[in-house]
Amino acid sequence: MAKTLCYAYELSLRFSLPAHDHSYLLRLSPPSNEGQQVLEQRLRLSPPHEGWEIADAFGNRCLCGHIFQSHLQFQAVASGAVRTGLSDGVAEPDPMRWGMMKSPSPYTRPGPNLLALSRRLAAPCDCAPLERAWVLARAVHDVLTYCPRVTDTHTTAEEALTLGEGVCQDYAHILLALCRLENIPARYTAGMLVGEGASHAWVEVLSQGRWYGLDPTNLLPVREQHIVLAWGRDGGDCPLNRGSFLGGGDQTQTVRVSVHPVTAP
Amino acid sequence: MKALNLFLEDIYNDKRIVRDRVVPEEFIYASSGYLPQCEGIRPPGGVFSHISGIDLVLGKDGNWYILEDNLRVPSGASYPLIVRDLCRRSSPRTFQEFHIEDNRNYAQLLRHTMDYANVGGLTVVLTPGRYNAAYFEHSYLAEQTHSPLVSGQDLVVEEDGVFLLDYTGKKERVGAVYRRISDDFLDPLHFRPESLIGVPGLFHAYRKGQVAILNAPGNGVADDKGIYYFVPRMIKYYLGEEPILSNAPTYLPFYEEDMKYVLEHLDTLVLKDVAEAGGYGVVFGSKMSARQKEDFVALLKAEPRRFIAQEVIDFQDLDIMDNGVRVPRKADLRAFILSAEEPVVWKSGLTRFSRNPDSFIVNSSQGGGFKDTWVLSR
Amino acid sequence: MGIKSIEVTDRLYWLGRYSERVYTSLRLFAKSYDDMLDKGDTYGELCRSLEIPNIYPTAQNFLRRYPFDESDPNSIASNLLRAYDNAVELRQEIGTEELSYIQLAVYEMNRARFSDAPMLEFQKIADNILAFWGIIDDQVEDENTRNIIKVGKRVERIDLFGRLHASKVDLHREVRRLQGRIDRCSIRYDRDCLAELGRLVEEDTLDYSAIVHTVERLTAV
Repeated sequence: MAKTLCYAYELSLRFSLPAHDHSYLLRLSPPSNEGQQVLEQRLRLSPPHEGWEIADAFGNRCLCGHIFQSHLQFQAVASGAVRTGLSDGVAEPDPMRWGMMKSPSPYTRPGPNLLALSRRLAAPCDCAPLERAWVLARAVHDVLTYCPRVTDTHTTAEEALTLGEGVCQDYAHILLALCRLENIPARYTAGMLVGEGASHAWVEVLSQGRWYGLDPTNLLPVREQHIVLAWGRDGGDCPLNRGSFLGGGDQTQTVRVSVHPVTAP
Repeated sequence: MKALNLFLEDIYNDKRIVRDRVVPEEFIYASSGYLPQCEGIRPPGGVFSHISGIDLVLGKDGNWYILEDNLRVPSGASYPLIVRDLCRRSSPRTFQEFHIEDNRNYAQLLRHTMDYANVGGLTVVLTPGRYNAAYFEHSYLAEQTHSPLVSGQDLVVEEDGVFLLDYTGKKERVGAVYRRISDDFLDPLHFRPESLIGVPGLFHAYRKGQVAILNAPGNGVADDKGIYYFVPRMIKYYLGEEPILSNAPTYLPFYEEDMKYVLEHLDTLVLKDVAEAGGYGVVFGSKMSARQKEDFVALLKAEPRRFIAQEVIDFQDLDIMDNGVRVPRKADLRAFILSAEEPVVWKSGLTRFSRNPDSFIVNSSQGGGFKDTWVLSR
Repeated sequence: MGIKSIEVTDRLYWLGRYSERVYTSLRLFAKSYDDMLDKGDTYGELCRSLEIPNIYPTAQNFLRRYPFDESDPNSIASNLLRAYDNAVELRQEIGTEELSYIQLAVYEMNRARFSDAPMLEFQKIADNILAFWGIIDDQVEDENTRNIIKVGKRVERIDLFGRLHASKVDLHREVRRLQGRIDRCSIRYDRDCLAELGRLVEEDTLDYSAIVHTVERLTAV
């Protein structure tokens, strides 16, 4: 079951005018836990300088830095290898700590459409939260059409549901809202999926003392195909990159992610 | 104050009060003042609310009631200082004939509170700038406490802490930030990304204990209108004491029996939206039309967590001069409590009154005025 | 309080410059006003010497607009408001009481605007500016703060004296005072410019436009 994946996350930010006093925060360091083990990791920053690592309130590893000098481009390339699919779910020693994962958060606050959908899906169920969450995930997959560029990082679950279209972040937000309306603790997970393209997002639910990952966009259980980067109540809690700078004019950001299995020697 | 500080430390760490089911967890996590980013933080000295503004009213029954606690960045402490200075000049006899506590020690109390929280370095006052309505107060308190007044761009965060930059490129370590910027705008890397008045990285320096922030971020969870109901329970839970001051009788429609009471007594109650502040989102049942009531009841049933209902307290009116005529107006008192080793009540306060004879709303943002407040020493 | 942000340093310097500009232009205006009472239109001369555009069609228009018109960037009122804009953001550096003299000057300006005999109020504006400079000297503990304001004041005075073709004695004195002050504060300036200025005021025939040009480059670093 377990697999070794090598990954590269390339962030590039170009400015039309020089930017300076540039502070940033990156969540590009995968954690090692029961489910995944980081084998190696590298980070290259340009303009070259030293950043430093902190842990945020969710335990995510964040890389921070500050570039004083003027620059026209900022680049960060995080790469490495991770052993994935090491366990089915991750044990949670203190479920009471995660009460926040049962309450609406800024991007998952339900509006009339979410409440209506939740009512429509209501069914007596004495199954485990994970099983119920899969029912909800399939429902999300049915009501939403995958469509890039109609939503953005500020789109709420309610807005995406109203549009009926969205990307992985929107699938995750709607599923989070539905789980929480049924009192199932659920957290947003940002990470990477095998293949080429952008970063990915999915949901983990707490069921019988373990966190299990569900990928509502692909209707896949999260196992050896996924690399976890960060958690939060929703996408707003754990953006993979955030920056703030002076000057800079117009900016163009590109992100390229690639994840490939390492073939056995 | 002690109980509120203990509550904040508990909520963001061990969560005993939730585990013991004294406060339902949905009231905490659904509060807009709750910041998950603050989980696991214990600020220096265990103080979250260094400067607290407690709004009180005197009922016609002679009792003082707590209207609300302000634990985020309560403003208004500079006004009693200015108005006292004017009163002493214009009515010296008042101060000869009555034993009025001197309130001019505020800067000293504030400075002590800042120094107590400071983890080593300068104390600065962080302002959003001149065009903020409270800018006078920011600059006045900076002057009185001999602290540099800074804007976000004057500070920089590096791996080992927060620094103030000067003209020559020299930098000096900052150990405490008395910020007059709300949580949302404090740090664009951790909160609202579009904030231009904040300091990128300030929050993680705070997390690491490299700088104190006064008041601590995340305090909004304890002065939330929905949490207000639970404050007397907190006092018993954390301190084993009975509260000395009463809350206005409050109902939480979240609880079924309270919902029933609220629906039956809508006319005598005041209803408050817990998400609003500054006197907004407050409606009096007696002033709603039949149609408005119907709409409100529907909203209340859909989102019971969003509202609290309180008995309308019959305030004692206070006389004010309105264009040379003495007239009665509604008024409240904001008492300031500064917390260092122990909470200290400043023997002064901000008495605010409503301009409009029919209004209960005293906020200066809605046209209210203020008076000097005399605390008698005997 | 040792450390000063870039913004605070700039504001102190410009507070010095604008307060001086208001004070000196009030004195010039008083003289011009007095002349005009019996000699008629002599304001063109004042505009020329201050190098401000003569946008005033009549003496009456000049007497209204030059002192009071806030939409005219060269008016005395505009310069006073700029002094106030800097001062109000320096309360923590200079103090509330000190700041209040600039505020009082603004109130007097507003009163003068509606007066039949504005010279009486103008005297009060000048009094408040003098009181402001006096209290800064007397009450502000930080030497750097005092010196930055004074450097601003001196630079402005040399600039105005240069434009007005003041006597060699006066300009010589002002440049000496500036030289004695500028190294005692944290303001950045061009040393070559200062040396050049010292040389220019030693010459037998003063080159006024060179003096004005040099002093304006002095702190533009």
